[in-house]
Amino acid sequence: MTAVKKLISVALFAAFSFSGAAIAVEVSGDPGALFYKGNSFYEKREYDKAIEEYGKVLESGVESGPLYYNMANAYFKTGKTGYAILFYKRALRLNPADSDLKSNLSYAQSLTEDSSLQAASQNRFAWLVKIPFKEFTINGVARILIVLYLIIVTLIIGGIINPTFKRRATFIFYPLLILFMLALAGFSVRYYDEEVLTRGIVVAKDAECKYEPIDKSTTYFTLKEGQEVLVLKTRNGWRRIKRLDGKLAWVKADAVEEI
Amino acid sequence: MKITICVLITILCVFAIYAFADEIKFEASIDKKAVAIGETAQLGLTFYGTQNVPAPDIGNIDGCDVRYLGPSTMMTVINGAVSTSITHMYKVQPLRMGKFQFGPFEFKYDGNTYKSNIAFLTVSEEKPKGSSKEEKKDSSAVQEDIIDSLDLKDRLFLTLKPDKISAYVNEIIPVTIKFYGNNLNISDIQLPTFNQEGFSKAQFEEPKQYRERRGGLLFDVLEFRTTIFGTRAGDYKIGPAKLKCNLVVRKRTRNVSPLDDDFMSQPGGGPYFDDFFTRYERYPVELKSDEVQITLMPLPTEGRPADFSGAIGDYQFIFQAGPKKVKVGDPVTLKMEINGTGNFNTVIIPKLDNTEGFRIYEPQAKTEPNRKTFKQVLIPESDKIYQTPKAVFTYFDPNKKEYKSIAQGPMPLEVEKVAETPAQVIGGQQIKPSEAAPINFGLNLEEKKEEPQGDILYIKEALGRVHTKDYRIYNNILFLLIFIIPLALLVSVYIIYARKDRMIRDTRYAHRAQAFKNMRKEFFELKHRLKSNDAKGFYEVLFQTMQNYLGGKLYVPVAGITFDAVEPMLKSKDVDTEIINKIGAIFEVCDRAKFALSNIDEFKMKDDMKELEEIIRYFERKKL
Repeated sequence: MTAVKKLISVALFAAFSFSGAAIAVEVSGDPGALFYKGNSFYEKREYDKAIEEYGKVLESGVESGPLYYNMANAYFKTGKTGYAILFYKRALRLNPADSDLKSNLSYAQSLTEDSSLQAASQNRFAWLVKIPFKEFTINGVARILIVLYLIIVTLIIGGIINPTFKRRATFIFYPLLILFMLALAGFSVRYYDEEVLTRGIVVAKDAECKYEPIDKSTTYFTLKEGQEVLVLKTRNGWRRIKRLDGKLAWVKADAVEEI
Repeated sequence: MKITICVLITILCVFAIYAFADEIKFEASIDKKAVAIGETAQLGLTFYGTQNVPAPDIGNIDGCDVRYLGPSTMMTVINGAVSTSITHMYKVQPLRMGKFQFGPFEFKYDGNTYKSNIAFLTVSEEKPKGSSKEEKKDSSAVQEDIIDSLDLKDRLFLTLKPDKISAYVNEIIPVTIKFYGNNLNISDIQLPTFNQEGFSKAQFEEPKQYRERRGGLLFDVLEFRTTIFGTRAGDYKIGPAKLKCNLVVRKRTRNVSPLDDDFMSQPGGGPYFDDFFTRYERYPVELKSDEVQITLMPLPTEGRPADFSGAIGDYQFIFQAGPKKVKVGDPVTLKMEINGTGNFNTVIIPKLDNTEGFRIYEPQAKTEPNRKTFKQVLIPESDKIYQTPKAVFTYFDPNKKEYKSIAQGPMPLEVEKVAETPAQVIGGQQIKPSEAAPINFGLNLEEKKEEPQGDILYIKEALGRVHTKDYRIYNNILFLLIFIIPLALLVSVYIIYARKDRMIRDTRYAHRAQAFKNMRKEFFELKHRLKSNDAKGFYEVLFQTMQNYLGGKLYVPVAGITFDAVEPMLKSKDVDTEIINKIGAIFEVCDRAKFALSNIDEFKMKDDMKELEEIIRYFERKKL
């Protein structure tokens, strides 16, 4: 029994150490100073300068939810709703539980001309699987997955070594296994959504979507600033996009920014 | 108390039925258009708006045998409207060929005389397709094309009808899809779909259900309505509309056509004639309508105003501004509502004329059924402004085929000058009062935190958790290792414990495993004897090794092992003869070494040791 306890302790230590190690990937330079400088410009309503300072933080190779949030606010104040939505969406990936962020994003989206196409009709299963972990980032879900995995493996090993432990641990094993399966499904859906699919936001006021990636091609439909699209490929200054209602077209690359 | 409530509800329901009862209508219908001589059809005399009318006496019909079957009552509640009816059913059996006319029947009730319509029945010598018992097919064949095989094309079909077949680009075209079913039991009706290439389609409205007489037959109708609009001029086809449903057909184990005598085939509706052998089968059916061609015309260029933005329909424009009295820097909200009928996707904010002196913010749009509202925030920057800008909304009216412009405003506005206030000091830096805080539409920042309507919530003061851009924990090799290492550990532990467990449970296996383990120990001893050139000791150990190894492998007591004892066992296990001979040779040399060591030298011992190694390799390889 003592061996099993030691095993669990080692597994938990490894899981939390790894999570800690992941967090501890720190950055060089002083992004904090740039960030506060950006904030002071924002307070003085010099939004363009604020964006510039926030941009310097990004150029230093780091990111954070509040950084994207403040950038989005600054863009919003300059009237660039498309960029504001883009940065709110980026912030949402890092801070999915931030209520201020959700509120501002919702407000910015309500100002877009065709807000009916904002709400993508998502696969119901995927939507359902996302619910339990929607307040976590994808890294957070991955950490949960690791911890659950290590506990489960430890319980199995403990059960193999000591049959008495196996009997005692059964009541916790199955709930953990279900939780692990849910976390795995949640992670898979999030991974597909954030890593496999490339989403983009229209940042131009009106983005003409063409049948072919040629300037003279017929316009199929026009995307409004702030609309969300799926970016299928980018080639020679054009992006092949799929509107959230399924329509496919080509649009100038600078009119749509990837989230 | 409960009983009282139930009684009250019942009384209210009965009262409601009578209170909302329709005017009585009298209709005659027949379930088949054509039958063969000897076959029967079913005549229904229906009184709508009542359920108390007795069976009319329709007398004798020349050439027909008529028999009264009984009444059938119905009450339907659609969108709160209650309708009742009673149908008196008659079985009619024509006795000669020709076209029979049923009605018009006259019936007197409560002092009023009611007159029905006429129903026709054609009687031929040949049996109409599908109505004959001889054409009864098995269920698998029926499922292939139930509509064709049962000749239901006239009784179960779908229609697709746009309100107009010629329209302008972006003009809303209402489309109606009707599902018709005549005296059939249909279930699981799905929403229809239709090909609308070149058009954008709205969602279907709540379907309506009613009855409609068509070609002398009474149909239950399910009506689906939606709207479409095309974005490019040209000729297009919409449809065919498709609808999936299940046709529930009564099947009997007796030899009767599935649709024979529909009155009896109503699930639960044939109370008099239903029998024990009845069962109902569902056949999936997909109904298709015809295609419809629609021509989309471009909007006329003649008379098109310069500020026309594509709105098409028939609209009204309401313009409001408030507050009427503000200070410089305070927001004024213009509320512009466009209502009416048309394509609201094409409606954009009306154009504002003369916005000089105002700072303009992004407008907010809200679309509701038949209405689109825009809220535009303007901030007067000077006290020299006396009115709001004028708003002009231009659209094309497809009914009148002309462009229209509606101008609203300007509205009077009183802008007061803001009194100068001392400069504030924020963070050691002196800034002007107008820069002290962002425009907040009359709300302070704390209030904005709680109430986001009208503006965004304020920026974050801390940078928060910072990490490298696009950092993903699962891209780290540690992430992979942390999955693989415990899994490898788990597999190893499992193998070790499974082997341990087998050693306990399977003694034969344990002996075999132990034999190899012991042999390895004894092999070291042999090497030691060889090194010290102790021939006698070497062969004693060699003999013991052979005994122990073979005893373990063959699961026999070690003490009794000689070559003669193990040879039959080895042969029974299909051990190669060469190996058996080698084992025999080792046993022989070991026996000889006990008495005479004259012929044995170091090379001989090395050869015998190699032979032993070869035997052991053979046994381990063959997993004996």
